[in-house]
Amino acid sequence: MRAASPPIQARVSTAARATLLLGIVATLALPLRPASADEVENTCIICHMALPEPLNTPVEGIKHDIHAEKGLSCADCHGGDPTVMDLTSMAPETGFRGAPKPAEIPQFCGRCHADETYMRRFNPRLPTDQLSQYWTSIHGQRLRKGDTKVATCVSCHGVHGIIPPDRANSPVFPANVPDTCGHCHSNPQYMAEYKIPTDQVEKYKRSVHAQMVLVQRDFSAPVCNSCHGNHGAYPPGVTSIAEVCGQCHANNATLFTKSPHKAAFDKLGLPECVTCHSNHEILHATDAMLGGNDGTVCRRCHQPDSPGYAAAVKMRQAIDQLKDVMGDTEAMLAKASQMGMEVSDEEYNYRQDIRPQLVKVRTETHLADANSVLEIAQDGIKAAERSDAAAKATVTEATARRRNLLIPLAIIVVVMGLLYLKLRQLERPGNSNNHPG
Amino acid sequence: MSSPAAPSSRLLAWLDERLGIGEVITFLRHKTVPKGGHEVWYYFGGVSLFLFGIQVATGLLLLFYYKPGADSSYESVQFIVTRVPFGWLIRSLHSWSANLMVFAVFVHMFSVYFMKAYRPPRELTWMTGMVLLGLTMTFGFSGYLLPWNTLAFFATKVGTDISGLLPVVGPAVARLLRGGDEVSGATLTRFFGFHVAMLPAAFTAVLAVHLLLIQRQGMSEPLRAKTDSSKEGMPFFPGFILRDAILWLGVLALLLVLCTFLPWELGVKADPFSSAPAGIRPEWYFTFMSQTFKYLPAKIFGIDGDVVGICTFLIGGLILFFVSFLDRRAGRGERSPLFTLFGVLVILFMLTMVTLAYVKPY
Repeated sequence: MRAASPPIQARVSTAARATLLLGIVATLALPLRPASADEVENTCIICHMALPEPLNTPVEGIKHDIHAEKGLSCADCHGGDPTVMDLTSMAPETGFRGAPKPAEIPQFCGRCHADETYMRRFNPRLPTDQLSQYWTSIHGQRLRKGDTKVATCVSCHGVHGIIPPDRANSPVFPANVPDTCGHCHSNPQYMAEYKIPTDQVEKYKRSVHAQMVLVQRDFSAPVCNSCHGNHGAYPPGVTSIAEVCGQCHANNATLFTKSPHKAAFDKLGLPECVTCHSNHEILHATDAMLGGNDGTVCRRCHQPDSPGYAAAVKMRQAIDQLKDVMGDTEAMLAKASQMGMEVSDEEYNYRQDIRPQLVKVRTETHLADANSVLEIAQDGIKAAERSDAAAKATVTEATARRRNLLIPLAIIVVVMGLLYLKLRQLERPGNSNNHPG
Repeated sequence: MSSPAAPSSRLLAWLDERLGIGEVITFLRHKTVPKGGHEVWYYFGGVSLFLFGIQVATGLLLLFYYKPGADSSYESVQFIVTRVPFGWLIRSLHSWSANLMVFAVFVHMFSVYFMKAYRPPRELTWMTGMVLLGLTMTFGFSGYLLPWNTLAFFATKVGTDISGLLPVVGPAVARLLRGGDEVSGATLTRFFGFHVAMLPAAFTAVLAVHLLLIQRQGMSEPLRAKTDSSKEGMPFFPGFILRDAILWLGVLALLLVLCTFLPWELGVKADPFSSAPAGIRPEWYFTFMSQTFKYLPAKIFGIDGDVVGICTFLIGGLILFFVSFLDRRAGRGERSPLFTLFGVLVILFMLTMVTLAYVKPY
């Protein structure tokens, strides 16, 4: 089990307090002298470089920080006068703000990030609603109530050395988000007082979504913030889950809301998509989930001989029948192709017209209407059978070609034999043709 | 009383009066082919000629339906192999016989080389043969692109890139071949022009000279066999011709089996905007070059490795082309082991690279 560790700003603050005195003494020990022309821009860095940890860590971090990349200096966030090479640079009259306390961090960052006019200078497309969203989040709400253990800006983005989220080494790059959230949410000791599960990240990493993001590097698949929001992070409510999943799975969500399940789930207080698919550990949906067999999600609620059970069985049979016909068609197309026949048109039709039909019929199951599923499955079956017939005709032709090859081969062999006999006759000893002249 | 002459004899007499074919028949009756256990190699010239004939015949038939163009080439070949009666056979015959022809031409060239048949007075026969080898490979290179499929498209891109490495003229040659900076529809129509007009005309002319020289000078005997005067030659007609005919029929049977059981595939239509798929390689007879370029370092003695590679191939080709003049020992009827070793090394190098291209393509 991971040892309890507080979030970044808490650790920094504790360490900073412990060494603050030593830092001040060390800084005072520096000879007081006017700053040279080269040093004018960076007296903060010159002093902090000479200080012990953690007061010197910003110096290293800022080298890779997006703020420094955009031309901002220490003073743009912390205030003070970086042109003065003594402690007066941090005097109150210079506007020195110092390091914010954990509870002050959102407002500290929001001073610029919530200012549309200021932010437009750097990136006109960058949102400026992070701060207002944050106060609506569970983190922000608890922070306002005095809980300083909750995540603030620096918990996810880091302190100095902040990297934009579109770079792969950023803690908020999609593939890194589960571990960033898990830093706190997977820590049982740290989360103990909140009485919420700490296995979300572990479960998520077994999900089909994690497989896509972490293994296939497909960042269109969701990570924590895709469903929970990022700055306004909040658990989705029971009745809004279909809306959340429907952001990507639009057809499934639309069909579900039209299905009899919607009203039934609402009445029973069941969390829509999650009831069948789970939440964090969403596995790859298979046909095995559907039908009347033990272990299907349908059997969790529908008892044998109930209308729902009969509909589930019917839907599963329709899908299985379509898959059987598609399997035959695929095998026949593969056989034709192996025989060297040109079936790219048939293969294209199969990919364009028939395979999507299976996706469509699986999607249609969210409407929970067996007749509708059967109708779409039948369309697919008919199309697959047409394609299968075309592939079979090609295989038949290839077989006929091989059989008919015997005729020209036989003729050739006979002519070769006759020519050989003629050659032997001509070259028989005593034949005048055997000798030139 | 004299009996009336048979119709065939009268026809021959009529033709003889106008064309003088009697002299040709008399010449062929007197012409002999050296014997001595090595005559099997003599048949590869004839096999190459037979396969060229198949190329011409099937090529003309393909022209009935083939439509050159980035939007029509692939579709027309697809139409030929799926809709045109026996189109699949004609297209496969064309592709398979092209490959067998390249193989036969290479065997013919190396057998002639090792028998030192290039020695005087057959310098011109050898050199025209080398030109025919070059034209055969150019035929293959230009024809490979014509179905406009993905493999051919990217192989042509690689091939024209290699030609662009030639010193001084390289960029101009690459641009001339492509009809622009990149392989495009302009390259396709250009290659079509090379393949069906310019190359056949050039090939036919050089082939005529090559055959005329062979008939004029007769077939060369290897140095070993030449010393053995007790062996009698085989009559060119009918002995050699009949054997040729039997072999040609065998080759035809092989072609039919290949076309039926392994029809030449069409592949996926070329998409100039897609990235090159894995495993791209040119036709097998160019892989000895493409594979070599994979192993060359970026710089050799400060010169680009690719440039050194293309220059080496060029020099190797020139040595082979002018070998009649370089191998003076063979010219004097003496053994020339140095040139034999050169030939062995060339063959070993080519076989190794071609094998690596298929066994270890990456």
